[in-house]
Amino acid sequence: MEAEQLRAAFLAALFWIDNGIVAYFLLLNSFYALLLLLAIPELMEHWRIADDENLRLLRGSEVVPPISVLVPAFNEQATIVASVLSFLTLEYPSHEVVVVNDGSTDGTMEALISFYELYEAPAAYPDVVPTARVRAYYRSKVYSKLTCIDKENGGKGDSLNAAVNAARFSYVLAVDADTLVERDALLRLARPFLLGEPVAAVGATVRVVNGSTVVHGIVTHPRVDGRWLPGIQTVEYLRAFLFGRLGWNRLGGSLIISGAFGLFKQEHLQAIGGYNAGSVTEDMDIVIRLHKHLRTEGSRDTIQFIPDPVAWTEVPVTLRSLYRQRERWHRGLISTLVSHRSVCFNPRYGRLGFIAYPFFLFGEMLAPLIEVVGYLAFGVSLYLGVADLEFALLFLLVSVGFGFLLSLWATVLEEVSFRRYPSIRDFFLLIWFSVIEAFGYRQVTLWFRLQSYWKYVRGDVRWGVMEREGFNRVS
Amino acid sequence: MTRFAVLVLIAALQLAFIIMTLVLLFVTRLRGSRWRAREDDAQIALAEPLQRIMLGDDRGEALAAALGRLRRDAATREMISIGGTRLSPEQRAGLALLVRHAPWVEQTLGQAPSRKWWKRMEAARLLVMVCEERDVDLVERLVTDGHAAVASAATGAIGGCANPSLVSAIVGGLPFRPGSVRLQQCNALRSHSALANDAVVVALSRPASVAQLRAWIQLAEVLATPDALAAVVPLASHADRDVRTSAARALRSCFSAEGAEAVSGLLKDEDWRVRAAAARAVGALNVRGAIPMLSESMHDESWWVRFRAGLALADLSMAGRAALEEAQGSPDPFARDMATLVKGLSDGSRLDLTSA
Repeated sequence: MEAEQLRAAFLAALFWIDNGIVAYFLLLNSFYALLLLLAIPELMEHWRIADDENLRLLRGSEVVPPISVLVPAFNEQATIVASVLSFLTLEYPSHEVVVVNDGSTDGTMEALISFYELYEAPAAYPDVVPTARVRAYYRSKVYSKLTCIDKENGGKGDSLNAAVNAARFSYVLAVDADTLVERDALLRLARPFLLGEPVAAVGATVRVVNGSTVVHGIVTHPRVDGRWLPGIQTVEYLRAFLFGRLGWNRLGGSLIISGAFGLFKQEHLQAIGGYNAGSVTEDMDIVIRLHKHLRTEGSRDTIQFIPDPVAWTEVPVTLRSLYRQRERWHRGLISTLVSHRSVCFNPRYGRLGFIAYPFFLFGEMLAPLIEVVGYLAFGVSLYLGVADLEFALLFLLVSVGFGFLLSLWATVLEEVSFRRYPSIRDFFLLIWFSVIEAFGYRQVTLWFRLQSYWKYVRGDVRWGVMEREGFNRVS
Repeated sequence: MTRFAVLVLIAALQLAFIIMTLVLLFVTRLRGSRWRAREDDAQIALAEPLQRIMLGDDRGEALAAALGRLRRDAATREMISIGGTRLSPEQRAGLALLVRHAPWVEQTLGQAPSRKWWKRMEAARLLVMVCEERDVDLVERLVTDGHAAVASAATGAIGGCANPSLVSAIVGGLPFRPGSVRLQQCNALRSHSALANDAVVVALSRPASVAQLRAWIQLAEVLATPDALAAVVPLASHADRDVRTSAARALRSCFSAEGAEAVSGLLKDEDWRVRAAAARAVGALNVRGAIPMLSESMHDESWWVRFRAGLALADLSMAGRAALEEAQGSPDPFARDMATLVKGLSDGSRLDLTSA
């Protein structure tokens, strides 16, 4: 009798778990649909103004604020000279480049010293944010815009902090040394200032460079990589940036500004103590702390995302690299959300506490666990006859269909606005990768993300090495 | 309704949406291709008439007629593009006279009161190309538009039809414009320097808020007329630090004894921003009498003040450079480091940093 009662209770629990999974799925996807709906008018606003001739002229004038470009570099000997040159030659009336050699063990610093004729300058900068020991400051004899800092290894966040200390201007742009920033991206990033909008931080689009033609650091022919792994990530990036982050503009601002390309007001960065040197996702951590700071201070400054300034990045082409990247991203997400748990449903933080944080907690951080529970529960339910096969298949179909629909909409938004992939081949590839994303890729990345929980519990703070093909071979 | 029925409903809706999205996607691509084809056709249709006006074969009659045959949006776009980049101001003015009363121009300018900012912006951009004296009300309406992009777009029309009342309205509205638009309008007012000069001198002599004073000081700085800058000198002792900072900035082009005295006095200001701006101005004005004070500023607690003072000393002839060398040998590490930093710069780099 007892066994039967237990079985009945177990079946009832399974039934409710199944229902819970369905409800979670519907709720989460409804929220994505809302983000999409909010992103459409945002995108149209930006698109209408992005190429206005008048603003283009204005952007080249002294009305835009000076910007310090911060470039943390670790073992980048092969590419550092070219990367820094590309940052120095960005189209912008007033900017400087601050390169930080984060204790590289190769010849990164020597390459910089030799090519840019660096001379050691005294430490004339105030250390507002503490960092690992700085060995020396350098200025270039030939490029007045260039400052280099040689410091002991302390990680990306620590390098950015050293750069923030040395930055002369009130806005700083954090970039990755291996990112290709489009020539006019800084000018486009300055649009909120031209429109008189008070901003604390501006995020912009990162696109996938794999498959594109790159000449002298400029993406001359953007193409979609035909290989499945970079191809699917191209769709993923479009979806994340074109409506994911854009939609958040109308919900109080996203929690993420890509570490590869994000503009910040220096005074706010200094006020919150700079980047968290111990975080593996310092870009998310800094944005949450910035949100909190702005709310606490009652500042009118906002955190915005604008879609047309573009930086190109290389994405993993092997499962091993993808694993390292996704596992680290998810581990960083868990770590950041846990350390800022006081924000969750805290009325003091308004929309951050009631919309953004809970979404990232339930919709991103816990999603892999819920998904696995869903797979298991449906499997067991099918086996025990709690759920029928028709229902399970239909649910699978609907979940795949929803992912496909969202990816398709990302392609629609790309087509009606910036249309970086004009060829018909790329158009069909984007649709094709939207279809196949749900079969294999999704499950593989789910597995990668699941492993991050274990590593987080173990206290793993490693970044892992990203294998790159390099832009030359990409072209 | 069972959960299965709910899922069936969702699946059906989803399928409908997927089909609609796919159709939309293909239609969008097709429309994009057609739109580009139409744009190419418009440019082809205008190529020959454009050549005629550029070679001086006619005054733009053929081009005006060709524009009139295009769709309104295409004609507007082409007029803005051609007028802005391909024609001389005289050619553009001649063409403007010919098209000003064309239906497509009236229609586009008629969008000025629209609730949609991008329509107002389109009207503003066309107005810059076809503006006449009688459009002064329209110009005023658009240059004072609440949307920065519209006000910015219309600013180019100021030169075409300025009169005292328009200039006065623009000067009065400067404090309410976003920084970028304000600076742009200040620059545009340079083409009516006399009118703007009178307006700003009057404005600066009246009691006003900090925001107003800062905006008008900026106008005085851009106009850089002796009268306007003279009106800024008394504000160097204003109680508000932002006003003093703006005054110090503006006075770096005030080559008068009063101006030099005012900025030298600001080197002792209590606020570092004012001191930094004053150090820069002293260097720009070549006030050699201020070298001892600049030497003192090399020991300032603010990095920016030391930096500006160092650059100013490097600009101030042999005596300034000697003071910089003296600072390099100073026991004060801040002064010493800054002097070393500035002395290490090449002339070009120093010039870059001084003007940045």
